[in-house]
Amino acid sequence: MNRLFTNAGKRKIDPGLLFLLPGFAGVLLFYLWPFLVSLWYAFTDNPIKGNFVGLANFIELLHNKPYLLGLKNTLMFIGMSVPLGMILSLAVAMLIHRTGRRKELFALVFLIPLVIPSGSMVFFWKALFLNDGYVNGVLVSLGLEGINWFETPMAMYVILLIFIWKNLGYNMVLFLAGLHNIPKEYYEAAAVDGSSGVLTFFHVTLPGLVPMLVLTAIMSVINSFKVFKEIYLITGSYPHESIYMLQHFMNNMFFSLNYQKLTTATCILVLLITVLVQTLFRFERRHDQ
Amino acid sequence: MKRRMALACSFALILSLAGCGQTKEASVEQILNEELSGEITVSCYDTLISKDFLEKAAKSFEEKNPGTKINVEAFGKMPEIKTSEGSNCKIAIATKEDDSQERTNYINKINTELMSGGGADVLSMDILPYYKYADSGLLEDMNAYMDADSSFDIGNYRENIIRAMEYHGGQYLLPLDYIFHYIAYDSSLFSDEEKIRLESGKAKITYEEIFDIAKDAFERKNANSAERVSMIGAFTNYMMLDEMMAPGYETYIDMENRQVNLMDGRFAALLESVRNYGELGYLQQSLELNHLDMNDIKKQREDQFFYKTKNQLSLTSEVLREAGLNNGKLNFGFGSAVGGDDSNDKALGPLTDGNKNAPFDYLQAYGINANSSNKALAWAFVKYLMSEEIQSDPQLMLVGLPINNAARIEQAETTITRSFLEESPGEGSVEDGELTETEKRTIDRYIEVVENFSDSLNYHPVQDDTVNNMIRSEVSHFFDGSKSAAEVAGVLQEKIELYLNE
Repeated sequence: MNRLFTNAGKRKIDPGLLFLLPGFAGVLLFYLWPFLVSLWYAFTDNPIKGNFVGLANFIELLHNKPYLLGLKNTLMFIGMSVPLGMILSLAVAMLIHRTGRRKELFALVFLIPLVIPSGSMVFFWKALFLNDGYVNGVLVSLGLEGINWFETPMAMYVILLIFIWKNLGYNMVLFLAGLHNIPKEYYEAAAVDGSSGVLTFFHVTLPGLVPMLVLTAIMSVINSFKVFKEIYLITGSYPHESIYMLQHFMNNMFFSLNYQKLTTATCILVLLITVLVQTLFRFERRHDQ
Repeated sequence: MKRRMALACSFALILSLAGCGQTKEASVEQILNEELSGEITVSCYDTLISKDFLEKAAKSFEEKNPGTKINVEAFGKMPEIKTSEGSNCKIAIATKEDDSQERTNYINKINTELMSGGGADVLSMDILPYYKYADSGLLEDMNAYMDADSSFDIGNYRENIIRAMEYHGGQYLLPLDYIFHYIAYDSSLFSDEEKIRLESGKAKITYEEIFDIAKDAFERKNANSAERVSMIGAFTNYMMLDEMMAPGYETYIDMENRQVNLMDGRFAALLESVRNYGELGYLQQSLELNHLDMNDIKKQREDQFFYKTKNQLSLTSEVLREAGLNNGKLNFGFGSAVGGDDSNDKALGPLTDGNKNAPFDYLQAYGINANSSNKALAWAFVKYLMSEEIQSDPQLMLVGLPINNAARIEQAETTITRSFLEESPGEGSVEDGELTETEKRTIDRYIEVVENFSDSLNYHPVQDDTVNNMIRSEVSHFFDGSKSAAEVAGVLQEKIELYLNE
């Protein structure tokens, strides 16, 4: 507020705000307004001549089995992929951070999966995990039975592997930046005090990484939703029930012209993500205090 | 700042909601009383059959109703026409690779238009999922129009066909024509006892029964013959499965009531039966319908089959053969162009589920967009497409049987008299513009056969492209041996249930 006024009380517009205006207009026009308009569908029974039905769509959705299945699978996937991905990428980041030479080369190797197009990647995963793929070939040659990877609950673990393989590099780069920001003096002081590696990690490294941990967690949650692309390309709109995600439900509702269910599911998802992000930011603020 | 942002968002929300109020809709009676004027758009995907028909009908309608304009939009690409000439005939085959992406693009285009409140006024339901539009209130229920319009008498049309196409009690599409399959058998390949068994059960034909009756004859014929005679012509495993599922489709997948029942063993048994038929040599697995040339067609027409699945167009040949014309070599209809030598064929009846369901399909059916701003003109045009004038016009190629009763009779007369005219000079030639007794008898017999078959048709289940693609994709694993029938049934049950319950 103060930036808008001079000491004499005259209104003066900050030039910085003017530069932000086109971007804000774009966000308003292409994100906020469509979202608000589509919110209306969540409270009507028909997108064209809709009658207001209050929370009926939400109640119906919470009794919809495919939606609940998608929600359960999505939450399970986030619950497994985000911690596992963060732990592995932190481990890799710490190893690279300790490496004396060729740090950039090692970092580059882990970043390569990020730049490979999903379509090409899918071809590779299918070659590995289809019924007559390489993995089953190895299992059979070892005298074991082949596994139907994409049509049994094992599909969830394949998708987990794909997610971690693709996103490990991204989180690793964030953690590397976080590790560089922890002053070396802290480690020196810990060494002088005779602190072990484990104690140093929990009392120096982790606290120093909290802002980055929060950011990485948020980005990992967002990226976990993007894994729908690979699942869709491998298994189509209706995969095995263990990997039927919320995005499958929403994508299918779009093609079924059921905009009420689509927007209702979107509302609930936005609410859940907002709560999660607010919780993480509160945790970070409490840590700072 | 936060308060200003909140105010801005609330204002945007209120603004957007302001446009969402309902407008009062005109009643059907008011719509029917409106004068016909203005413009409408008719949209179709298919170009081979629908586009030309619609354009000619539109021109004719505009001439009869000055001040109106009918725009026809066709989305699909024209099929490739291949012609082949023989010594005494020329064959043109229209082929088009099934472009699923093009179909998906068209459906998405229509969905977007309809869901945004726009779209064509009249929609051809050639590939569109009309039941989804009906569920979303995007199509007019034409029962109200049919009841309120005094110029529309359902008695003038095949009422059983129209009523069988109701969905949840509403009439969301009106067919212009209908097609059906029937079974014919080659009487020269069966013993007298076997023929009696076939004829006695012809009212409720199923594939299982006819294959069972022909089992001994099949073994007898193929034991002594160097060249194998197939049980049934022009069928692969997938086509056989489609045919056998068709009469009882809803007992497997009931789209209207959102139920799927593939786990009671019948579907698995059906898959096993089809594979068994293929292994026994009953089916022609290697047929590539899109790549036939003149030699292939000539060979196919000379081949013998115990049974042929024909469509309604072949009834002309059956009746003409009964009347002693053509010896079955000429005047092949669309349905039997690749169906083998039918000089000894005898028609049995429409396929059923062994009980009461006799399925049919349509080539052209139209619905009215609920968002149309000119429903009066849209209804008038749909009615015009169903009128005797349009449906009996020989310039307009209606491939199926016309839904209009009078047009169907006229078409029958035209078809039979043309056949007589094409025959070599002799008995049956038209003289002095008057029909001969033979022609009259043949026409009456043809009409009798067509109407008897048509009377039994009563089944048109809602089928969904997504579900059919799932089935097609999954059963391929069974036919290539990588999965068992029970596994395929289990996977399909799960996937289709998920789809239906969404």
